[in-house]
Amino acid sequence: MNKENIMRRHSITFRLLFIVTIAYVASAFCVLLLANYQLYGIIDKSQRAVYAEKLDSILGTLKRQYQRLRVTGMVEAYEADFKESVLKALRQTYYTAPDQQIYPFIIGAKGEVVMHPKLPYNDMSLANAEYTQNALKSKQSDFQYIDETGKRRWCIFKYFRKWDWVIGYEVPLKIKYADAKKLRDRLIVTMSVITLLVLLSLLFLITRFTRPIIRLTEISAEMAAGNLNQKIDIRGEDEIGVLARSFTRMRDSILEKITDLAGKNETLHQEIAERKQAQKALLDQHQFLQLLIDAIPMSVFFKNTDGIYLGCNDAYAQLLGMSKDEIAGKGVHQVFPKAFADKYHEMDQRLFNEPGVQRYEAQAIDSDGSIHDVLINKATYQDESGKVIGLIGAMLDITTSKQLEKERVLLATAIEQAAESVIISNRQGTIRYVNPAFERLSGYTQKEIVGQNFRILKSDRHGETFYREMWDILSQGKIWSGRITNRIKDGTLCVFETRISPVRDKTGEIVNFVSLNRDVSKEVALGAQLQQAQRMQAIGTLAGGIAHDFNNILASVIGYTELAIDDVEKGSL
Amino acid sequence: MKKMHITLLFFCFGAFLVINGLCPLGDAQTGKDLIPKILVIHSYHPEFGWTSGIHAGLRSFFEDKDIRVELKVIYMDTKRHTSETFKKKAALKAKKIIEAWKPDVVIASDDNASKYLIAPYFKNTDLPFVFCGINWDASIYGFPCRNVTGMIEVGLIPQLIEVLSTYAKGTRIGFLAYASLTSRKDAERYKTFYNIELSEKYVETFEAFKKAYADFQEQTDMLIISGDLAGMSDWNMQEAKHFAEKTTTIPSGTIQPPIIFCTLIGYTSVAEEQGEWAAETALRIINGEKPVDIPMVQNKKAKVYLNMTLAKKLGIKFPMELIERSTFVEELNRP
Repeated sequence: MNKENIMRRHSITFRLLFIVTIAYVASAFCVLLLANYQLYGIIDKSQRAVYAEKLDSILGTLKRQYQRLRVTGMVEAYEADFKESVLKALRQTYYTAPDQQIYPFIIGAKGEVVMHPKLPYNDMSLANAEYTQNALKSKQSDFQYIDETGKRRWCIFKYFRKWDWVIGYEVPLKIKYADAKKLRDRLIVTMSVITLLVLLSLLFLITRFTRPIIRLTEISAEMAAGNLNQKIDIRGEDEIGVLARSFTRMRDSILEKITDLAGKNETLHQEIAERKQAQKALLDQHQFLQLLIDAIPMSVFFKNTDGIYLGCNDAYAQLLGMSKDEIAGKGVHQVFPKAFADKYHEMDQRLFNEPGVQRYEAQAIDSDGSIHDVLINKATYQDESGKVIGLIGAMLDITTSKQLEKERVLLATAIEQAAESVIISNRQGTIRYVNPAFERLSGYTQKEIVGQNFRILKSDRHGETFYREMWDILSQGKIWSGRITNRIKDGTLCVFETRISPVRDKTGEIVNFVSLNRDVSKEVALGAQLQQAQRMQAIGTLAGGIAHDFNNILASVIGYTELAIDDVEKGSL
Repeated sequence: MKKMHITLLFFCFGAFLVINGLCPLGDAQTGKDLIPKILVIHSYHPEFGWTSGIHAGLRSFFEDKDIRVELKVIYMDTKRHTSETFKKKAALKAKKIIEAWKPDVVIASDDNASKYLIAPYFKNTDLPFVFCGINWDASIYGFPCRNVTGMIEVGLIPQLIEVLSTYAKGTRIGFLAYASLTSRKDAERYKTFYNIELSEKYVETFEAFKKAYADFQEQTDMLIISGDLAGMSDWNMQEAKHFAEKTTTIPSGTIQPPIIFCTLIGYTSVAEEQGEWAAETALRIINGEKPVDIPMVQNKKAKVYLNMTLAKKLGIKFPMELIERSTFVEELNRP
């Protein structure tokens, strides 16, 4: 049963109609019972009177007949004929239909049938019947009985003394009370119609009276559903009018409060949204940070002031051979051997005692039992009040870098102590490193030369073709070797026996060039001096002549020039 | 809108009442013009038994059949006023009423109305007349004619003789009557109409009556006594009755009520039959039939009186059929 049906069943209209209907039906039923009782009494009385009159009429006929019989003066002679005559007349008068249900009858003193519509004259079948005996005994009365077919009948009878006859009338109760039934049926119909009309009128009136209440109910339902802008169009000075006005005031008050609440709610929503946004941002940030620390190759962890891990990154978890969730909630002694754990714990306590940043090298053991050199950086963090609530640490595995450093130191020492000068440049020719031998050879210090281009050493003794060919060879990843004349810091030209090798990275790409140089200038100079000496010897002769000519010309030029300078006012040029 | 509906409802209800209430009045108003007018002219006065019987029959016909007619009744009263002048004046008075009232049909009972009114003034006119109670022969007034028909009154002698014959030892019939012209004419009519033989004695005194009565007990087998004997100046009904009860040895009868106390059987005409027939015939004429097309008839009904004292004396046991349709004279008021 839905809500509407339940409400309809409990509505005022329904209840009032139900009560009135019950009251009307009950009153109608009572009236009907009372009317029925009274009516049966009236009918009994009237029927008794009616049929007594009918019997009197028959008795009158019999009496007149008997009187005429006596008038004849020959009673014995005529009696049978007169009886037959009067019975014939009575039959003709009263037995008009073959199956009539109401009929008079006459029974003789011995119970024999004198006149009956169905039984022959002198029939004795009724003689022993209870009602016959009753009739013969009481002579004049009426009573009800049930006949042999089970039908209820009413019998009224009187006595004709002259012939010792009981004259009676038999009436089925159904017919006797037919008028009562008809009246009762009409009464039922009339009362039903009246009840219906009254109910319709009441329905109209109740509907009219309850319409404002129903309207208020609908409005309250609408308001309950959230629609507070319902128009309350109910007026009047009665209780419903007062109720409607109170309802309007209540609605207005609710509207006001709702508007206020809506504003607050809006603010709250905004705050919630902001908080959600902040929470999301925080979560994002947390995730980001988690990702970030996970992305960091070095091990990162954070603990509370009790030394309990609150979290770590993948690298740290990998180092310990445990999952991050396994690590969280554990202390340092639960994840490291005691020797390592004691050191870490001591350092943690020291940091908490002196909040700030802590950096130290230590050793760590991984899940495989390998011991690593690590650089540990720790820092405390505080809550909003500034209270230290934990630390965050980063552990950098420096085992490899330490090894490489050793190797690099070895190589550097070798290069540093090498007799040949070594220059390392990048692909663009920018010098990245020179060894002490180069410093001694070139006069440039490492500080001066690093960052400079190879061109600083260019001497103009080689054409572009020389350098292009050299570069082509180097670009192909091949080693170039040869002599090259470079200008050193003091401007002196030095011939270097040079071997330049390209240096490749792991991908095979050329990233640097290493140049090994040996100064062969003296060797070249000796060879050139010899050659020059020979050449000068030949030319000297030629030049002596020419020089004499030129000196003559120049002597004049120079002389006049000096004279001109003297004539010019000092500072005007 | 609601008010309009209520107004419409009241209007319909009012119209219903008006239609149901006024229509019967309209019908009555219209029907009043159609009620036929019948003028009844009795020759005698209203207290006269025969006349009152005719009138009762006439009225009962219309009332029993619930036929609405407008009846106007005139009594010429010529039984108590027997002069010719009175009779003619009474006729003229009736004539004026006819001309003034203009009835649709006129019913005239007994001879004087026909003799003094219809025959001289209205025979073969357009006004239809129905007569009744004319003795034996209407042709003396020229009936039937174009506008007149009726019922003739005859004595029920044959029926009486038939019953008396049942109890008589022979066929000889005595006729005892007052010595008057009318009685003699009656005897002649009996003999002429019914072809019977009568042994007649006419008396003028009560003693003569007793002697003649006693003689007839010896001389005839059955006796018919005329009712006009009761008109004799010295007639004593009580004594006559006792005399009859003492003397009678043969069955006797009469067709006239006054004398039934002295006879075994009274077989009298029924005045109501005349009135009923006249009323029925007037109605037929009103409904379109012409008087000339309605043949004249004779009365047939009889009222039977049985004198059970004489019957016991004679040892006669009547059949129940006769008893059932008879009145015992002992049941009547003593004479």
